[in-house]
Amino acid sequence: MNLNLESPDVIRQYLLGMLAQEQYLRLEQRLLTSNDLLEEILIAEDELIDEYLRGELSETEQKNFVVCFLKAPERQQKLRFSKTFKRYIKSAGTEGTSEGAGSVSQAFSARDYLSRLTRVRSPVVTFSLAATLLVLLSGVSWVLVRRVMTPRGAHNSLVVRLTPKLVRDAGETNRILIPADVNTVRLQLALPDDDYKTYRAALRSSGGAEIWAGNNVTVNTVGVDGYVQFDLPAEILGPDDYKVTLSGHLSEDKYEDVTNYSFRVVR
Amino acid sequence: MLTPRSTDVDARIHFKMSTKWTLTQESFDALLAWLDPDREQAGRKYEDIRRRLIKIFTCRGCATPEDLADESINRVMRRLKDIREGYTGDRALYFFGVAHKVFLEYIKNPPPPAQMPAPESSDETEREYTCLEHCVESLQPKNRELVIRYYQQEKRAKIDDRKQLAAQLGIALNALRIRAHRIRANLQKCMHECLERQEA
Repeated sequence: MNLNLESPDVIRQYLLGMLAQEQYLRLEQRLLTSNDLLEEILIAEDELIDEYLRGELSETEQKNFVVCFLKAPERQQKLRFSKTFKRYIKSAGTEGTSEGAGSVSQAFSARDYLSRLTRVRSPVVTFSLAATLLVLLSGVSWVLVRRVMTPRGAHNSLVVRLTPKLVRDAGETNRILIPADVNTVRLQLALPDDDYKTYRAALRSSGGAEIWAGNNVTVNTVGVDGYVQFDLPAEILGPDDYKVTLSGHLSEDKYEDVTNYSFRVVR
Repeated sequence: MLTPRSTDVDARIHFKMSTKWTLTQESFDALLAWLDPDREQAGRKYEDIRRRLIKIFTCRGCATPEDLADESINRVMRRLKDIREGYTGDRALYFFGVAHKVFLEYIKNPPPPAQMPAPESSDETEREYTCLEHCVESLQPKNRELVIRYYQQEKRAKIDDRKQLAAQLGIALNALRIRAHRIRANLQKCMHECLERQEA
């Protein structure tokens, strides 16, 4: 019998321990290799917990939920969080947002992003970000740069954090100075959203030629801020203007452009 | 504690000693090399496989899914020298076969049923709520509004409102569902980190 392993009903039965062995073995084999199925299961867990808290499970489902679903400590933590979350949502009502209720902003805005930047807690990063803001205001942009010492003590790696291009004025460009002894540049790209699990990053020079591309670039998080990172050999970054296009992975070979990051290399 | 040599590998890689077999740096390195010639990619694959094995054991109702996942990985490491040359196909599926055997042994001698944790005190509940409030306030305004609006309403009103929200954002309903879930998962992580900082 052909079973749609990713259908909500099948996943629900799986979570409640109600699938036949042959069916759950097939589903789990798929789970080991399918990102979509893993995410569906994580979402279905939350939805099942919400139904339990609302008293919407049948008697059998409720019994299986308590006896089987809640056995693992991780799920007990999820249940506990969900109770707190539910309480918060109930009390939030329509007065929750500082931007005004009912207006969902679709576009990523510079104001949103700058207000996020000021919520960073680390004093070093806060100082660096404040310096960045000052420089932006003065018309010359610099990027967050951090040198990484290797175990041998030589400076040969440079970490550069970029934010999405906020202004389109050709006169304002992030400038990166790459010292001669650096052989790797690690780009960290702050994400405007966290819609995708993996991305494709493509680097183009001012002439438009793609000089580097990386698929399956994964998301890292610090607090609730996401970013992606990858390493580039410094030798490919001669003095020039560059643009990194970040595309979110939809399925198989399909990607969707998300945003761009621009910078200028000076030596 | 043995750790991967490369400083570039994500520090979240971890493992535990099996009581009957000695885990060595060499055997762990061999496992990573089998997963991928690039050590950083191998580290990510290792973490990913471990995470999925934990999920499988969790979904099978095991009380100690992390221990069982680690035992499965240890057994793969022990057998690696015998299978490395001849094995073809997705490496992750080999872990699955070993994990299933570990599960069958587990259910023959399951641990005594764990007691459900005692209900949290009102102090703990309030600390969690305060942390969650702080985490929600730290969200981008559009994400904050999305997650509040997505999880409000009941039954029919909820479905209609979610369709409206998805239409406003210009995305499909399932994309909205995924986005809301990811924000919720980040909030849970943020709340736990906030609680840990308070306890430290």
